[in-house]
Amino acid sequence: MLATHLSAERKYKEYRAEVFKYVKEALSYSDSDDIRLKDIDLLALYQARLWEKIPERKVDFKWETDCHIYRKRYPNRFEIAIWHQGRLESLALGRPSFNGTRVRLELVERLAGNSILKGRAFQITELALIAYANLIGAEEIRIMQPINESVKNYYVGRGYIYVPTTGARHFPDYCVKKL
Amino acid sequence: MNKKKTLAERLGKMKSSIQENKHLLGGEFPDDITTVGDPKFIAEQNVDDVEYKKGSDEDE
Repeated sequence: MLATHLSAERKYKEYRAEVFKYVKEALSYSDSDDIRLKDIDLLALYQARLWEKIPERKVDFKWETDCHIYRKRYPNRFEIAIWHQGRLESLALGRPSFNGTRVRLELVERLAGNSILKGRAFQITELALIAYANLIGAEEIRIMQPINESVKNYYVGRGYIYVPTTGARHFPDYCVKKL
Repeated sequence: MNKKKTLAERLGKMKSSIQENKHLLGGEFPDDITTVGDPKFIAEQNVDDVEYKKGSDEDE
């Protein structure tokens, strides 16, 4: 790894840590003390491996290997692992655009089946994404590929604009909001 | 990134954005949803580097 890349990894890790600290302070749930916000570390990847055995899981994605290149390529990425009492509840990944004016949330997955956070995992992720985008000076956030009408309507109801796909391979639909 | 703002300014904006958007934590996100986004979009970058660089989001 180049020194510049290593330096960037360190810098954005510190940025995310600041975001997690202040988002955590903003949580006002009765069980907020049980919730921890962290980077996707080795422990998170280990627990995510256990998700692959959950029958209710709807996606075929191996967090340990399938996002390896993505995370390596984007030291300025947005990522978050949400824990509740030592159990991994949710993982998310995204990244800024090339010039840094936008941040896109590419993927959020919460624990399938008996998750204690359920929808809250997506809301905490959204707040952290907004905070991260502001910290790096971005002006817009995008939530890529809202999975169905209910999710799309949820974000549109919160001030996002839905943009359909162009049909091109790497230009999927998304919900966008100016900061 | 926006180079016009200093880190201290961006840090301030980050903190205020959390306060301004705290209400987002109180919404009703559909409980049955376990995933947003398409995992294939990330996974394919592990094997499809060249194609990805051609497309990417850089950016309409």
